[in-house]
Amino acid sequence: MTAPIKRTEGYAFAYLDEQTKRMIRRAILKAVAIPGHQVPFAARDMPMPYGWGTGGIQVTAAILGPADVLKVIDQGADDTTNAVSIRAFFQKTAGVAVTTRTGEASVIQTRHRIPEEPLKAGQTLIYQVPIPEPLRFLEPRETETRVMHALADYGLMHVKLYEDIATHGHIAKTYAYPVKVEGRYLMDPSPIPKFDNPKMHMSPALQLFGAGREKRIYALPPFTRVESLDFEDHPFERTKFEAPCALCGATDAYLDEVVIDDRGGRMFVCSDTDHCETRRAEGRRGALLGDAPKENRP
Amino acid sequence: MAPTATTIAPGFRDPVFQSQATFRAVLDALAEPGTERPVEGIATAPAPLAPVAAAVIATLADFETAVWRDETLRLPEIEAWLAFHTGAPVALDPARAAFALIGADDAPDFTDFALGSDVDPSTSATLVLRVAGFDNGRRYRLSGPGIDGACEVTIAGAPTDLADRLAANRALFPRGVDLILSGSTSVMGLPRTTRIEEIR
Repeated sequence: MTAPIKRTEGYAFAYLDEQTKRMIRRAILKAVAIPGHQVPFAARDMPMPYGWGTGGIQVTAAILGPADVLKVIDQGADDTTNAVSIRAFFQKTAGVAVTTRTGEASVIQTRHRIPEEPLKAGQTLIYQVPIPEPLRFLEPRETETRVMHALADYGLMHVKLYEDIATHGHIAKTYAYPVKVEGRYLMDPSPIPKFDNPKMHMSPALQLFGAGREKRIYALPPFTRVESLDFEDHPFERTKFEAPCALCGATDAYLDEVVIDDRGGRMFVCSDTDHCETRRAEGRRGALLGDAPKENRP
Repeated sequence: MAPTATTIAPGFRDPVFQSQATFRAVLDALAEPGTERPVEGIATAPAPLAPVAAAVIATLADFETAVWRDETLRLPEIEAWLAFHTGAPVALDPARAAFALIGADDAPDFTDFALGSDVDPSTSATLVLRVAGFDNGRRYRLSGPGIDGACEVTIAGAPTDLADRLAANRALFPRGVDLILSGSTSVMGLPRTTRIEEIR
């Protein structure tokens, strides 16, 4: 963990002005009260382009306090451009302590992953959301999709999943896999892999979703039922991996495929860098680590 | 009579950080109904506006949100304090209020307030209900999102028909009001999703 630092003078705490924070805070409270419902909010221009997580950043800025410890991940990694930039942004404007350790963080902003280490009560996970409307590509008119949510009319999504089965033999959606919240609202979990969907169900942590360009906030309070859509004869299945992580040997984590040469060679490694590093620090060894035990090597 | 500057008592000593702390308490309270979350009230708020309720409304209300207040709070000092510290317009019609400051006595029917629409249920009112505290009162069993199974809470000084009011409110889901109970040193949230029954 990196301790709190003195924030740069001349910025409002966590960048946003107080009136903007109040507006976002009011939207967050209503989102929590209506789990899975997209609450409109007046998203501001942020000092970075849409698509870089402006929704998540505004939600983080609205809740962050001086006692928080912030972790930011991009596809599971703490050390990629998006994560590094957002972490530095809040160090500069809020002076908060930051960490890469999932267990140490009170607020985790994420682009498209849920950490492997189970989240605890008191933690808040904030998702960066590109497209909050799960029905968008089935019905492009927002006026219509809002009425469909009002009527809980989600037949179109079931037809889409059924057509997947008819065409491919299975539900082909592997990320942004739609979920039903508390048996009522259809929700886009943001483009997390469907591998992560079960982690949302009855999580002890608070989950907040911010879509900046689309100006929507939605939420899952702790201990909320979150079910991935499926059919009785085609139940939801988590993505499975054939090989363990090449660095830490994990068999229960979401893996990224990495091309390692120009002859088709590839390796699979944990997408969650903190999970992988923690396991290696505990002495676990995957096949491609130099000091891997013989039986682990290919 | 127009209030003069000298009649207005101070609000937050440190608006940025005290409103952030109050917001997090309210957020946690609504995210985990039935849990008591400590709030540092604004002791200088003019009575009978309770310090914790004053902190909650100073945190959440501004020129965009009309605030309805019950009879006991319609005093010039309180009007002036709320106008100065929040800039929130006075709602004379409860149906037009984003927030309402209410007590157990003469609390209007919850359906008098904005309930939101089926298309946008988030436009409903948030009621800040002052209660005596969270011990030595009526006991309730709560369940729903934010609660691991069920929990029991004690609320002193709430309307005697609270469970019936909230059951009727729950039946409107996804429409309905959300409650922030403000005690003497803490808040408790009862969002529209919470199922409540009184333990007799």
